Amino acid sequence: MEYKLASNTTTRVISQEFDYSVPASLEEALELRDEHGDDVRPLAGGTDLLIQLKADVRTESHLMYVNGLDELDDVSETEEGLEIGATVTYDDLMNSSLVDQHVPILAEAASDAGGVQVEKMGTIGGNLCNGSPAASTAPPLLILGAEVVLESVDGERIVPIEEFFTGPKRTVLEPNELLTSVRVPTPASDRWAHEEIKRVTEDLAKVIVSVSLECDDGTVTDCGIGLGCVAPTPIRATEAEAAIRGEPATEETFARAGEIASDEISPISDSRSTAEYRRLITETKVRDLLVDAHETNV
Amino acid sequence: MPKNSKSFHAIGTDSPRKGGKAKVTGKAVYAPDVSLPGMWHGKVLRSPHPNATVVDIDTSEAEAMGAICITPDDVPDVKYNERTISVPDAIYRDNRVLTDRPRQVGEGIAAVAAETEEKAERALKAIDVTYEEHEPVIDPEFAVSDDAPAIHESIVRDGEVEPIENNIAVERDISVGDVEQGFAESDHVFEHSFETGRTYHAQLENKTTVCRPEPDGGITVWPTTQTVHNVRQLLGEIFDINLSKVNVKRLELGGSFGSSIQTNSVTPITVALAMAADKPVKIVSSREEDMYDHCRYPSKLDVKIGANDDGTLNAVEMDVLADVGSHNIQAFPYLGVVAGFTASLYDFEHLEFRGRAVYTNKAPACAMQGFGNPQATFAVECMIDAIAEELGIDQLELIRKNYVGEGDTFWGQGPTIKSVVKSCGVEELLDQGAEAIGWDERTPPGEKDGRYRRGIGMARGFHTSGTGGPTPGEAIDYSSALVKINEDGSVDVVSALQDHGGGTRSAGARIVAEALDVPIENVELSPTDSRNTAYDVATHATRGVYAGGAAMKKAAESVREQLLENASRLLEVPPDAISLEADTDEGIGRVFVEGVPDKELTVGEVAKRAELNNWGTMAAVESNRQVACPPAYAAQFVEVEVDMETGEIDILRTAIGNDSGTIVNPKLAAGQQHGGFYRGAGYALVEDTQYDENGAIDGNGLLTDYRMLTTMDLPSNDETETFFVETEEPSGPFGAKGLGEACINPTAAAVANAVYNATGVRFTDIPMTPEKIIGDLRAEYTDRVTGKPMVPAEDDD
Amino acid sequence: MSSEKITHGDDGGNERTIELTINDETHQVRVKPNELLLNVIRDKLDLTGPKYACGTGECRACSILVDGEPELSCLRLAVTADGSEITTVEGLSDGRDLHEIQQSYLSEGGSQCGFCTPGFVIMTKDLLDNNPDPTEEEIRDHLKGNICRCTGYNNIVEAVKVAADRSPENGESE
Ligand SMILES: Cc1cc2nc3c(=O)[nH]c(=O)nc-3n(C[C@H](O)[C@H](O)[C@H](O)COP(=O)(O)OP(=O)(O)OC[C@H]3O[C@@H](n4cnc5c(N)ncnc54)[C@H](O)[C@@H]3O)c2cc1C
Ligand code: FES
Ligand code: FES
Repeated sequence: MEYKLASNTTTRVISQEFDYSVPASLEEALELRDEHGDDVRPLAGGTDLLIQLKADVRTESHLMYVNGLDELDDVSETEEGLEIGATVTYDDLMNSSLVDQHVPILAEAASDAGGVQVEKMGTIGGNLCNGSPAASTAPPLLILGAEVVLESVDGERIVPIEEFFTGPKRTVLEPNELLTSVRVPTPASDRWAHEEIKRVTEDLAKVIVSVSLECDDGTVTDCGIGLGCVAPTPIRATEAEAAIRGEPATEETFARAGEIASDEISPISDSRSTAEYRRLITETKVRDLLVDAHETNV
Repeated sequence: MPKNSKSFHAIGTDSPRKGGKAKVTGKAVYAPDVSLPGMWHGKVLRSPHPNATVVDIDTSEAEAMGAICITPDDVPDVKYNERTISVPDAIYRDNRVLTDRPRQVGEGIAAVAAETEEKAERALKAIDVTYEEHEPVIDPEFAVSDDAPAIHESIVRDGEVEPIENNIAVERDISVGDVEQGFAESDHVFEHSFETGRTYHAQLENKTTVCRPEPDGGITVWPTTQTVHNVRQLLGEIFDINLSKVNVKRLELGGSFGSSIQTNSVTPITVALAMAADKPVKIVSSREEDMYDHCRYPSKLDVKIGANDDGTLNAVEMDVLADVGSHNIQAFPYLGVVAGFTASLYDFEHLEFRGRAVYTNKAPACAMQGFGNPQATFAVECMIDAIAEELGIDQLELIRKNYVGEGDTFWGQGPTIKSVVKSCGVEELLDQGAEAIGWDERTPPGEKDGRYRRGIGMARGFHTSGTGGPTPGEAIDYSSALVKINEDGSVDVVSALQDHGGGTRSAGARIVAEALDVPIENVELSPTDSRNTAYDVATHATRGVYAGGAAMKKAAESVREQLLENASRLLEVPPDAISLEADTDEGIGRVFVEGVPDKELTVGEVAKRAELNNWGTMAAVESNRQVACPPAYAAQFVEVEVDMETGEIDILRTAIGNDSGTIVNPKLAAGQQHGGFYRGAGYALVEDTQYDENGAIDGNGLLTDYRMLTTMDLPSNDETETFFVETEEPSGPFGAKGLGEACINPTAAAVANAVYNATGVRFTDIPMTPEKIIGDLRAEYTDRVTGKPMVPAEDDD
Repeated sequence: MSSEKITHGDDGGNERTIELTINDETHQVRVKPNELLLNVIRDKLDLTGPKYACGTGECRACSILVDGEPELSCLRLAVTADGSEITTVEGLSDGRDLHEIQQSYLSEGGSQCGFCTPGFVIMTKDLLDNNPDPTEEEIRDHLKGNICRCTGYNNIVEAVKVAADRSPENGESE
């Protein structure tokens, strides 16, 4: 968040006034979006949006509560993997047997996000649409090759998650669209690891690292390295990934991945950490997690 | 077991705290919970600039919305210091209710009141302020340079205007003996520089005030405070109201840690607003306002210690630069106690202290748990560890050889108050702590290798029990209490003594129960305010039980005399022949003549019959000043694990020991130990408020930007050992001394010494965040994969 | 249900009536869309147990149960809770009889200044409802978002352990 609350806004109340609607169906919600565009702002768990309204970094004239929409709150199995509705919460992800079976890394990432109450309130759709470089679900979704489904009255479009984020707090979501679900293919390999490096256990991350690894006969055949908080958007460390494909699955190789990853990021200093530390820790943790993933019994 | 001859029935037992039921049911009333009929809500317009002059304020639009507005022109032109508990000469006045010369981001410029908080907030945003901005002064080193603009031109002290030069708020030099001679006579001289963070109190209750103007021209005030009487006096002075018409109510306090010894900045603003609106008005600070309102004194300490080969410590020299922020709340006593705490840790024959406290354009610093002691003890106890290693002497041995203990002169509260130590459990604290942590198995840093390295460290310290002494000193220190026996034998204790949650008032009730020999269940603490109580300075300086409890004891003893006198008339025996006994099974106090079965009454019977006979109520009000401020000793031992690659430090185990004399509430006392250790560990590892060059708190200025250790970042209950060495302090009520602040003072040094023991790197700048320490750790570490030494990466620019 | 559009008015223009069942009592309350559930509970329903201490989700002193789930009332609009069942710390005790969780916070010193206690008690209720016999690790994990500035957490953890032992599910009563 780039705003300062140095003075004269307050987290005690929301002083701006707005309208409020509860659409009865997805169709009605899309109609409202079509009619009013960004003048009707979707509200899900509110754990990001309400803070922004308190701080007046956003002024809204109309909120539309999407959390009650049946069409958005399901996790279901598809041919490729899972389809996860936009209002599925972190807690749902942690407790879903389907998620556990297909993409356990997502449950792990969800369990890092915000502690019990935030897990109950925060949604995957809100997490992605908020567009923060620190979004907990983004690095795993990136390496899983997930896609988001964006719907409007004109129909749906499918956007690979890599193309969804365009900058801090910016995404490709159009004013007439809603994010309705996230499609996550089941990965070929069970070798993965995820970690958020934080100041204290309950915190937004300094750096998020998600990795996946496929090996054949001691050689890295494929790998994914997803990173958060080290660039204007969540990113994949594509150069590091490319550099170790086909290389022997050894600690030296994984260390090299760490080195390359730390070169291809563009971290900043903020109240949580420094740019310099973010580079150092990315290097160390990419290596550590690849080692962990490699050592996973599959 | 206590060394007391008497066995207690109320002291040292574990019944739940008084008032606890209201807390666990959500019914306890804190200032933010106070709501009055017809009450409006206030908001303060705060400067977004760290250093500016207000050229114009236009409130017309806000007023058109129906809000009441006040500006610097609408408040009394009184220069004050919000902390009023020192003698006039030691009070530096540089503050005002609202200012047109803001000296920090977040300083109050104007205020509005409206029917709802939302509306007040909208009205606030409609106020138009024109500022002339000045260059901000953020770095204290820059502040004292000739290039720095003046933050305050002058201040007022004891009625005189005094100029401020080079932004130096206070300078204080204190010397004992001849330090140069001390160094010349020493075999070794050790030097280190230390730096401590700008910790934020983060008490959960944000500063709040409700004020109701009364028809007689007076005011009733419900504030967040550690002291209702000082709030009353300050408000009387600022608003020129007779104190008899200023009533300040004592409420539950949602934590404070020193941040409400002074009257909170929102309190006079609320009063001014309520008087302007002629309505009850409430202001509850938001968390982000509170974060700009107070912090601990961050300090740089350059320390030099002279020692002999045999471990004798001869001389200490200390240079302190403290950053007081925008207002000088209590820098003069701060420097005095940093010197006093240093002098009272070890028996240095020679001491030279030079302290400077400088203004900067940041939140004002004030007391926070330990007041100068966490800073001084961090520096000195890290030095002691380093000296012990250099001299090849075990650290505990070095401490034993030099500590200030029984019979030694103690001047923890600064140079004006000296007393002789009468109770001391240091030896036992060291022995028991060493045993608990496994001190003897500790290996030196050179023997550790690998990525994750464990180390054990310890530090010792103390805090004063209050600020009392044989002579008056610089700060006021006395308490008052009224005790009375009701017609059924139950007892009311009426006292302004505040409780931050440590159990101070509960302890007071126990002391009264013990002194009167009635069961603790029969003693209750009355709701009080500044009008119905005599003066109590404040619950600060770890004085609550030792000094506040002593006043209650004095009043109870006087009532006990009356009880014996009345019983003597009823039982027709001399008072000396009567015994008192608390019958805790029956829940009554008994009055009887030993060996004469029919000569027996309950306390209630005595009280009722005294009333029927029109003998008067058995009651007494007493004020009491303690003639000492004895050291309550502490020792803490910790084991840490350090990740040499990431700089993450994990506290694995701790043993926390205290000598607080007689322990009045064992479970609550252990809670003080846990809490002190937790905040001390946060001080050592993560807590800090950093400011950017524009004088704003780094990040968004939300609580998100101020991290504290969580349940998961501390050792488990099994790995947390707490213990007490129960000495008996002759000057304390039933042998008790203070406790609270002693529990944080050694923590940072214990953690830093453990990190040194693990890694061989000594960190002297706290908090020891991974960002700060990773470079030095990696320089010490060889990468386990490549075999190359890991060096810190180059900075981006 | 069709979409409810409300005109965007000035003060008082877009108020509506919502129904909240709090601690088993049902209330009809007039609120505007921008009002926070925390403030409505505290100011309009006079239950001042839940506390504001940060307004940004960091302290969790405002924790309540909404339809049985622990949530932060400072980050919830009251209008979104229309029709919900809410439990606050006040709802646990039965008249003057303390719930075993409240009892154990009291007996173990889990509450010092007490400002965080309403949030901790609610989170303990949530934990023990779902996991009657938690390990210390599970207790600490469940409470990791709640800030207590006073206790250092040890006596809170102890209180949860004691409450679990005292709970009727574990067969032990006092
Ligand atoms: C204390 C605390 C801790 C936190 N910790 C973490 C953490 O560790 N990691 C992390 O990633 N986040 C964290 N967050 C942030 C936040 O909880 C998450 O980003 C959460 O997932 C947001 O979801 P929500 O439903 O609350 O979003 P909301 O606040 O309701 O919405 C966020 C944004 O998304 C838009 N939006 C929501 N749903 C849709 C949709 N279906 N279609 C289009 N737009 C939509 C909204 O209009 C809004 O702009 C934390 C927040 C708090 C308060
Ligand atoms: S007030 Fe709701 S989390 Fe702090
Ligand atoms: S008891 Fe004070 S914050 Fe927890």
